[in-house]
Amino acid sequence: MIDNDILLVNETLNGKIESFGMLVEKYQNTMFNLAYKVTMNKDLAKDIVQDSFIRAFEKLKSFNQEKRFFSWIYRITLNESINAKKRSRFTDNLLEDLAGGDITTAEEIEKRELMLKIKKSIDQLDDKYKTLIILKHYQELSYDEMSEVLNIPIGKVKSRLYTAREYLRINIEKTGQ
Amino acid sequence: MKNQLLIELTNKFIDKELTSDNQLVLNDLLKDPDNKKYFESMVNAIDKLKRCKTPEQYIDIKNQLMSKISQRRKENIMEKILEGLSSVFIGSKYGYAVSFGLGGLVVGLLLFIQPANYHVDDTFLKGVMASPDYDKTYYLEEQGFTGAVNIKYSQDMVLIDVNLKTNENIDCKLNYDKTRFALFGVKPLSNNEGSKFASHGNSVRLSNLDSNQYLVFLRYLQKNDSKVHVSFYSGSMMVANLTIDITK
Repeated sequence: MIDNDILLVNETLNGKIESFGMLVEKYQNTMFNLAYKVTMNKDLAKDIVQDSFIRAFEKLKSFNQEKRFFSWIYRITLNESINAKKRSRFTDNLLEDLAGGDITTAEEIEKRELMLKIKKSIDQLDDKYKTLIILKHYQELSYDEMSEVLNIPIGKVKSRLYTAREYLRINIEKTGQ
Repeated sequence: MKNQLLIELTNKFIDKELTSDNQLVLNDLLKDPDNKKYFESMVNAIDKLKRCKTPEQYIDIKNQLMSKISQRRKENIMEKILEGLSSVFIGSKYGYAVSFGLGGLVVGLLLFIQPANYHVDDTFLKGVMASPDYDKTYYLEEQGFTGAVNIKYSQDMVLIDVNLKTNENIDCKLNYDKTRFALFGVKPLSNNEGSKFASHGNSVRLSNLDSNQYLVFLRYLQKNDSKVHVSFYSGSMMVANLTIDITK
């Protein structure tokens, strides 16, 4: 089966710019959610997605068509997100998101407290572990996809994720949850 | 040190990858209270993590993004034409004259495709800058450059003064909410050759901030609180950014 994305990539390379628009339309939300989960800031995430797609467009000739376009744009967005997060002066939107809406039940209050503590536990992880946790548990990527995006063998993805989970477990216990 | 087998099987359990044989081995391992404690602690941690998953967010940046890409494409085409012209006419007898003429044509085309630029004249500036006091200042201390973004409110508009101290070619992009502001004008305070700016959609791009200072004027469309997002770039790499709260 011919990958439809590759057709769109080739059409773009042949000057049909609207085909790149179809790729943007297809993946913009996935990339936005990835960038948002890494940075926890919607404005920054939106900028990252735009920059990532522009970068992909400019480097499209160097895209290896034996690979999936999804993994390529995903890796670009992930790297941009991690770098932007390091440099960012933004504060997290998580607090704003949590403050939005009325709190009506004790259960909701408890959930919000839990979210803040989990976020803190994730933030304490090294970038390489944090990334794996986000990709697996928030983006729900398979091990195959993680291996392709991170460009490391599946066995290594698994062993790193196991270590990441172990550190996360320890951090969560430390926060008293 | 924990049993490696226990760690592997616990993770397989979390990933729902346990075979029936694995399950039997795990059950056996969990007879040990320490192992059971570890297993429950890990499963609980991952369960909490999953419960905290934020809902998916949706955006639609396609049109905005595609117009940026189209603009860049046009600029690249013009750059290529210029490169082509210089290579064709180098060494030609009439090279300078022809290059000059065609160069003028290309500059004309560049101006034609360039998004609207809004220049602010000095008379206006003197009036606005009569009082140099700023209402708010955001300081930047990055590797390679320092500086400040100053804010000044007036009756109908807000002035954003971008002033960096750097020897690098840093670009700056300001994004604002088009329903709240309209771009009134931009003024580079020194006339370096590389100093230029362009506006497009809801953003203004200031080029080459080495030793230059830009004043950006946004006119209020609505006097509600809003934010202006400022990003700094070295080439295509974003090196810093900040969000300005417009509170007046």
